[in-house]
Amino acid sequence: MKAIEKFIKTITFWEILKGLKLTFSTMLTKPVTRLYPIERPVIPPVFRGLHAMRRHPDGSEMCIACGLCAAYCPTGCIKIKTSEGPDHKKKLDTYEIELLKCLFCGYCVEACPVRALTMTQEYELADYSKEKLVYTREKLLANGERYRGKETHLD
Amino acid sequence: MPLNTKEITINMGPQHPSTHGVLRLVLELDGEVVVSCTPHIGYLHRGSEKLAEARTYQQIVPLTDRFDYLSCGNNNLGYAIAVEKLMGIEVPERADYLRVIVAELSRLSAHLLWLATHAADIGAVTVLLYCLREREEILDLFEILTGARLTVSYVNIGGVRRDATPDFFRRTREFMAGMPKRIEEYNTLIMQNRIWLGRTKGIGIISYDEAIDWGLTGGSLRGSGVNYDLRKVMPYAAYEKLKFEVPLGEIGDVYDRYIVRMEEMNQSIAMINQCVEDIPDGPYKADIPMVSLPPKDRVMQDIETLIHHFVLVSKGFSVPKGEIYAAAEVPKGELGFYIVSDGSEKPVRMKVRSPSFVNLACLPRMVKGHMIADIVSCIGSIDIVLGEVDR
Repeated sequence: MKAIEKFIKTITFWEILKGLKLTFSTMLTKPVTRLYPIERPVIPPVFRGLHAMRRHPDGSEMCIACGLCAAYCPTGCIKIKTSEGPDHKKKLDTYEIELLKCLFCGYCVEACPVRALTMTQEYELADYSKEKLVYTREKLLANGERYRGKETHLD
Repeated sequence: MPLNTKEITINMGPQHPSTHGVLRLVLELDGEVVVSCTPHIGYLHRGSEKLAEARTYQQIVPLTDRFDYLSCGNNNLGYAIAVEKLMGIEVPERADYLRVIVAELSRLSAHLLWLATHAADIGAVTVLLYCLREREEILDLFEILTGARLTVSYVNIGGVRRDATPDFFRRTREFMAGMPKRIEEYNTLIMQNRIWLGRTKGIGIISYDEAIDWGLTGGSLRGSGVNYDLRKVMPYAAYEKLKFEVPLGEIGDVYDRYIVRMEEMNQSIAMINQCVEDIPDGPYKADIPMVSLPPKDRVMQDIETLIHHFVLVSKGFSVPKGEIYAAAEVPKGELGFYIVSDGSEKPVRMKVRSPSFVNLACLPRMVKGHMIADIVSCIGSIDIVLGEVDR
């Protein structure tokens, strides 16, 4: 009996028919493919996307120019220049994040003692030139404005 | 009159879709039979071990993501347990469970991609599409838990980087409930398929003793019937408290290695389910001032915490003088970290024992005497990632 069953299964390509049944039944299910540029994925709040610099409610910058983000960065993609301000406080002159070097590990956000730097849900960061991918203070502040009130990574 | 024949030498790779990356094989062929095979590696060498010497212990964690970029959670875990062993740090129980969850999810996603590419190499392209569908859901889970899809950098020295939300546990439970059925689907497609059996049975046989001699680890070793799994032999994280079996093969051919990895996926699902059910409440990182950053609220409140935060971030923590070897069972095998510390904030030397590199050394032995097409199934069965081979 076993031999006959095996013989029938061999000549009818039984296991291949079983596979075909599965593939054909999958054809009838809803496709899981997302039509990407039209359908956008839902990005979770903890997502480590483009950095943003925050401002106080009165409009002044939160950054105290301590340079911890640059010190903690594993790749050294953050460049920061400071000078002494009129009230003898440290003043931020330039702030640059070179996105081509950035790992998006989020260590800079962990390092910031005043929560001036956060990460946002921006993920489409491709551009045509390397110069455009050096994100300056103005660009990061503008990104911070966009995410004002919706910031995550503040723990 | 004998025919005048001679052996020819051909290159397979470095740009070849079936070599799973930039692996170059120099083949000596007698007709279609492989006489000798020499792997040439180094096309993806980034000098990770040397780079580690210039970074603090904390900054090395994202570097370990890039060894085996398909199972980052496992690599982070291997590195973290090595440093923790050297420093004598105890990790909270919740962190241990979260570590196991992320490690097993990584293993599941790595095995899914292994099955996808292995099956596609041999000709079963449908499996590739199905596996990538499920892998995508695992990457979504990573995104909720860690904030990144591939390079998670989740496991840190002294715990994990953020706590899991109830939403994550709910989605993990839902996904895991449907997963055994999906694995059943892959088996329907290929397990009894006569083309699959013809391409995998009796190919690349490595016997029990040979597997030990070549230093194979992971699925390649257990496919030959050697019962050696670091999660059982030297338990780390929460593996001691979990119930799971170590699947073993019989003769050690490509088919056995395939069966072992398929069963490992089922075991991973069982482990994740246990972890999600049993996970205790509590802190997710060790409260050890020496390594863990103080809470942000207190940093700008009192001067001691502020100084502590500044020193820890800008200088890093120092690790006691000594050397250590610790290893974790990653999807490819035993990933070992040998770290030498001179008491400063940066390691003097970090040697990585990468399982893919050791397993790849066995490839010439596996393919000798087989057809050129069998090389493809052998490469698939040892499950290498070139990022880990070259580091």
